[in-house]
Formats: sequence, C-alpha cells, structure tokens
Amino acid sequence: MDQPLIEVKSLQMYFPVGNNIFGRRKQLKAVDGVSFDLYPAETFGLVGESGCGKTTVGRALVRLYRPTGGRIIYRGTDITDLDEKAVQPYRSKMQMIFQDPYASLNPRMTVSSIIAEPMALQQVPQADIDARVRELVAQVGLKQDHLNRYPHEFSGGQRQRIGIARALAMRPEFVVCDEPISALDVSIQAQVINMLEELQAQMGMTYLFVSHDLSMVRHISHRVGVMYLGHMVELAEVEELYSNMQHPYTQALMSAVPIADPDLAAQTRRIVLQGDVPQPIDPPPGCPFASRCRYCKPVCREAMPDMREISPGHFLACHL
Amino acid sequence: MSVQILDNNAYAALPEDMFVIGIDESHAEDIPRPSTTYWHDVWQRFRRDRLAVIGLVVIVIMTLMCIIIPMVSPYTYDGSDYMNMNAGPSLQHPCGTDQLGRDQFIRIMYGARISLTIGFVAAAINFLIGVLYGGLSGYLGGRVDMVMMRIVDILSSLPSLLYIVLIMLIFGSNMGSVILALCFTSWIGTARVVRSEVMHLKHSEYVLAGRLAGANTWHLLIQHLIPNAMGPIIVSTAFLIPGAIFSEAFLSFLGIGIQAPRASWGSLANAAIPVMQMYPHLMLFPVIAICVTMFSFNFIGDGLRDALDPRLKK
Repeated sequence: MDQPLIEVKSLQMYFPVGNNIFGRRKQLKAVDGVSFDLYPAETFGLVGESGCGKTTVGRALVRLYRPTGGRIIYRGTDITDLDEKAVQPYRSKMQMIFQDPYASLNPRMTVSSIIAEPMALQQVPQADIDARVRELVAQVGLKQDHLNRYPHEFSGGQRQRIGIARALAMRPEFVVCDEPISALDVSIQAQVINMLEELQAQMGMTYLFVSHDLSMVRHISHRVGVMYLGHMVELAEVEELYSNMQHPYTQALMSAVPIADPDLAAQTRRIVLQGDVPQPIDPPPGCPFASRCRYCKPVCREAMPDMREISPGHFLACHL
Repeated sequence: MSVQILDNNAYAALPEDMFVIGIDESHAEDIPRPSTTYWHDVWQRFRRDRLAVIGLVVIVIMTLMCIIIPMVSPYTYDGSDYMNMNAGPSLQHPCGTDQLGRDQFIRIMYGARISLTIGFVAAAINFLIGVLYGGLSGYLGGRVDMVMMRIVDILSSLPSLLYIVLIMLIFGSNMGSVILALCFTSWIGTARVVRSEVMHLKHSEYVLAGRLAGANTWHLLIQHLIPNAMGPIIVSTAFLIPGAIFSEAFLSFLGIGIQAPRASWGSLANAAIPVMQMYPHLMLFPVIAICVTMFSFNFIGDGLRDALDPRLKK
C-alpha cells in the first residue's frame, strides 16, 4: 500500500473527572492505546458500542482534543502537540461531519454564512467564497434560494447536507464522519451515504467513518476497526472482518446485527453478553473485555493482550 | 410483489391522470414557509403579550415626554412661582407646586430624565461588563474561571450601602457617581447568567465546527456563543433597568443620591414627607411616576422572557 495519510500510534486520551482541587484527580480513560493507519482515499469504519471512545478518537485526530499520550502523524508531520495556531494549517485539510444535524449548525447564522465560515476565517477573498458556496450548495443538492435561510427551516437530512457542504468548503483530504446518519430517517440515511460515497469518488478524500450501524459500516468501509472500552480489539479489511471475525467481542457485536431474512435469522444464534461494560475510570488490569468474555482465561485478567497480525492486514488483540 | 385489487376492466375504466408513477422530485427540496429570522419570531410573540406592549408604549411615551416637555415648558426645575406655593393641581400646574412654588410636573419630568438615563446607562454598562466577563470566564473555564468567579463572589459579598456611600463621598452626589455606584456590582448577575449559558453552549457541535474552521476564542464568543446566549442576557438586562431606577430613587430618598435643587423621584418623595399631611399631592405624583415606570419595565421584562424562551411560558 501507499504511504499512510495519518498514522495513529498508541493514542491515549484521558479526561480528568471529579472536582477535587486537592490531591490527585481520577482519570477517565476514554481512549487508551489505540493504533491504526489511514490511507489516502480509503474509508476506515470505526465501530463499537456507546461510550467505547469512537467519537473521542475522531475528535482527537482532528485535534479538537490534545491527546494525553501517543502520536498522531499527518503526512509525516507529528501534529500531536501542536498548539491551536500551529495546528491550523493541518486542520484546514481535516474536517468533521457531526452526529446531530440539529446541534451542529449555529441557529443564528444563515446557511451561506455557515458554509462560508471556514473560508472567511482563512481569509479567502469574498468573491471566491461566494462562488464556492454556490458550487457546494449545488454539490450537496440544495437550492440557491436556501442560502439566506436559517437552519431551523430545514429538515434533518437537509441540515446534514449543509454540514457536509461546510466540511467540504476547504477541500479537505480527511473527513471524520462522526455518526453522520444516526440521527436521520432510514430513507434519508441512504441519500446521505450515497452522497458521501460520490463525493469521495470525486475528491479522493479519506473518511474515518464512526458508527454503530454495522451494516452501513460494511457497506461504506474498506477497512474496519472494532473498539471496546477505549481499546482497538480487532482491525481488518471489511470482508475479512465480517466473514472471519476472531475476537469474542466482535463476534458478539456482529451477532446483534438484525438479519432481514426471518428463516435465516431463526437459524442464527445471538451471542448475548453477560454483565455490564466496566467503568473506564480506573479500569482493572488485563484485557478490557475479560469480565464479559466467554473464553476468559487467567492470563486475560493479568495482562493486556498486544495487537498482533494473525493474517495479512488482520490485527487482533486477544490472548486466544 | 404484484397486488391485484381491480380486475382489468375496472382498471381500464379509471382515468389515466389519477395516477402519477414514482414521485415528482423537482420540488422535494422546496421550503414553502417564508423565511423568518429568530428576531422576527421573537417580535411576533412579544406583540401578543398585551401587558408588555402597554409597558413598552408607556416607556416610549415617558421617554419622549421627558425629552420634549422640559424644552418647551415655560417652567424650569428650579424656577419659583411665588404666587402659587404649595398649590394643588390646576391647569397652570398639572401636578401642583411645592413649598418654594416650583412646578411639580416639570420637576417630575426632570426626575424622569435622571431615572431613565440612569436605568438605560446602568443597564448598558452592566450588559457590556457582564457579557465580557461572564463570556470569558465561561469559555476559558478551568483555573481562569475559578479565579474570576471567586473575585465575583468577593465583590458580591461587600455590603452595598457601604461602598455606595463611599463612592458618593469621594465623587460627589451627581448622576455619574450614582451610575458608578449602581454598576459597581450589579453586572455580577448578568455575568453569572452569561457564564452558565456559555459553559453550556461551548460544548455544542457548532462551536466545535467553528474551532475546526480555525476560529479563535474571540470569534467563537462573538459569532457563536454570545448570539445564542442573547435571550437570557436580554432578559436579565431588562430586569436590571427597573432595579437601577429603583435603587437611584432609594438613594435619593435617603438623601445620598441626586441633591436639591435638582429633582429626582426619590428626592421629590423625600421632600414631600414633612408636608405630606397637608399637601399629599407632592408625595402622590412622584410615587405614581415610580410605580408606573416599575410596572412598565417589569411587564416588558416578563414579555421578553416569554418571547425569547417560549418554553418557560406558564
């Protein structure tokens, strides 16, 4: 494969919790040692249940957060510790599509000023901005006379397309799609997904597609990573992962995908996990999944399994 | 997947234009509702609140009166009519005259000038300081926020009469020092409101999008945070105006605010106390002026609150 666009090396993102001014604060380990590479023009799906750190990984990559540890390398440049000003040239090339189309657009700004904002902040001349805004609006299938309206006048799908137009304004190389379809109707989901695929074909962008919709991830992704409690537990090419999943958590997750055929569904056995997700605050040592794993061995409770390559391109973090 | 409902003859009898096959997508993206702005909607809701509209009209009339009447009236606030001292209301003196024969109506109008000026200027200063202080404190958060809020706590725990009297002693009893005294701590309420709004809003996704777009703290505050916090800010400012007017009347009533011969509603009421039993109109009219103004501003404030946040409406 080519040179990776972004290399993520054992990324850690801890958040302080509790209000104790004296003594040491507790830490919530939202992401704890996640590594993967993103290649140009690919779609990398990131799946896992709520609270496993998918969104945090996405936000850390575009440096909305300053990672606690690990490295983020963008085209060979380490951007992990750059401050707000220094990271800006890179951030123009990295954009984000947000989960909630009702919260991601400023209700006091018109559509045209929302889409124009990234360009206005980068001192693009006004004439170029106007032309580009018109072009973008057409690209995402909105009308020119929508430009002077406010976000509350649009439907969820239209708002999400306004969000996409804003993300595309600076012609990014890398877009984090943070559950872009989870707040939309199913019919609108397909429309937005198709649009994202078309735009990728035209502009050659790399997507990090964060979602818990496993079927949609299978449809759109080239490679998929499975996260559990702040750790990457399995990573493979999409067909390899969906047909030859190795990690017990991946198996349980995949068995929860609804099957459209009732006869087939009756034959399949769903793996129901026992117990709850452990707290990411001061997690126990060993494999994060140990407390709920059917195949748990003594070693699982003592040592964290390393990520190893079990077949070319298929990585697994499990002692089995 | 074929569903047979009609037999072929019945089907053929149906007119062809009863059916459109597929959907007409050319208008799928249209929005029929005319475009409205947030402030337009607010005004529509405000207009429906009768008391608030009456309050607004009263304040506008009072503002115009206190600007125009002293310019055209034959009387001045300190000119005496020695023929009519302590006179009751008449055509010549609509609110009567005081012990020195000064026209009470024109003195109330001068009082209105002072009261309204103090109310609006104090509210504007409070608004500026409160929004800036609260906005920065809320956005920066962490240690900065901690220190800024502790400063506010210390300020708000000072006994107000003490520093007001001190300010009056140092700067003299004039309008400027009354405004300074009133603004010294009253911005704290606004600052707290702004801070809590900003703390809540700064995690919203459009603010993250703004950061991704390369916005600095200043741009985020001005463009994203403060406009969206404007509702509660306006409501808290609207209630500051009657508060400031009342405080000024109170200070002048105690004799530490506006000094004679200049007139303020508070000092007029104070001057009327010794003669209240013989000439009750001297007390009555300034008090009516204070009451009407208080009610009007509070109705406006209530109306604004309901208009800006319809969910709060009972």
